[in-house]
Amino acid sequence: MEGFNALAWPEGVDKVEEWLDFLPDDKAIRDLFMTDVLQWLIQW
Amino acid sequence: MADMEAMDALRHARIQNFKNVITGNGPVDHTPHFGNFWSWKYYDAGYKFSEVLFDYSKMEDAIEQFCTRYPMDVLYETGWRNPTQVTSILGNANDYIIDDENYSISIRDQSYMDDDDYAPLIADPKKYLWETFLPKKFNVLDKENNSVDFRKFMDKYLEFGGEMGKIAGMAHAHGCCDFADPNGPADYWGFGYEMLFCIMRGIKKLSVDLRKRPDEVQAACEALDATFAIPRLERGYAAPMGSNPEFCVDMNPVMLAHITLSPAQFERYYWPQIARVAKVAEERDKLVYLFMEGSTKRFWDFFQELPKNRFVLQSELDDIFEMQEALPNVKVAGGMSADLLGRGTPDECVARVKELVERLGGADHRFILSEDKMTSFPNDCKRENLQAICAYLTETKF
Repeated sequence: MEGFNALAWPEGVDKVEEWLDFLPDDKAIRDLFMTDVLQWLIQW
Repeated sequence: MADMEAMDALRHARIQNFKNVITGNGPVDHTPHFGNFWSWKYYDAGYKFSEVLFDYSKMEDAIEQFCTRYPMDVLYETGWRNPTQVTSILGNANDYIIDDENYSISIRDQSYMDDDDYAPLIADPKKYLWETFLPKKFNVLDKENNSVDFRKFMDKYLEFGGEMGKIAGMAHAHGCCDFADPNGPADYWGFGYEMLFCIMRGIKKLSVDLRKRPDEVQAACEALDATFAIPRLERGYAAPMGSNPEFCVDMNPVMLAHITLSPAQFERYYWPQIARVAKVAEERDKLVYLFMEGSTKRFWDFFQELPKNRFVLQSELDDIFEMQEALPNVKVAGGMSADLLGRGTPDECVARVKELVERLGGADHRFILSEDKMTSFPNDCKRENLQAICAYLTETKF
């Protein structure tokens, strides 16, 4: 089981992006997805 | 079982009708009903609010009952307002106050952004937000090895997204439209001033900041906009021209934070986002629905600049007739009061709808009916009143 700081920017967030195997490999798309996650976490 | 082909045809016809109300570019065959119904749905379905919040099957059933009982063009809130199953696993459950007796969910005035946080936010917004702000907001993540808990959150977040898709499909089976394009050039409240007001700095502290550190507030707004609103806008500019045929509108900004602003403050901190929305609407042929809490009358001279036949404005507290007269460049939505829906008779409610349709729709019937308040509490609405106005709107064709 992994153990790292998922909120470390940018290295932790980059590791979280590796979990997103339902998304294309395109880094820009994964970055956009995580920006949306960040916004959602701020707002709810 | 619903005839899905027929319901899809109905849904697309309703979408086009909605757009025709806004643009005036085609015939309007009925008055659209934008259903401003929130937690009242769960009361009407016979559930406690807290039951629904933590059980998706109950949420689904409540929404299915609502769509069956009250045919309408748009059901605005389909569960997305209440992601408590997702956020509570990160430890911020105390931020919300759930009142089962009144079917309300409130959020405490939050201020996780400290006085010293303006500088790091402005300098490097993503670094500040990920590394400093989120651990303050979610105590479960406030540790070095938080990846296990973050993974649990991601699983719940994706589950929630799937659930919202499932509920949207259920609404489609009743011919109910998807409202705003989630990939449009602007989203609900993802820009600087709203984020500072609603969540990051909070109402009280931000009000003081406007007096004591206005330049930092502006810089913080710009930093947040550069992170969220501007990239989204740029994606919107790159998307195909024209209004998305799968949604009633392309953008649905929700205005909450304007309620404490003077016109001068509105111009400085808030209007730039609305101006960006107006510009992309005009340049990329998009449609916008502004959902506005409180009163906006002191900002109407700004709204007079909005491009013609692209905007709908719904205001909670302003007089709808006065607003339409002051703003002939937009169409208005709303007008059905919770007082009447909750305390009147079916005949009185239908009479009010007739008055709104006739006075505001005009010869080309360009008006959208909605409830002025976010219908939440048991006394906000009586079942027979809502059934009466839904039947009237369904049966009245132009």
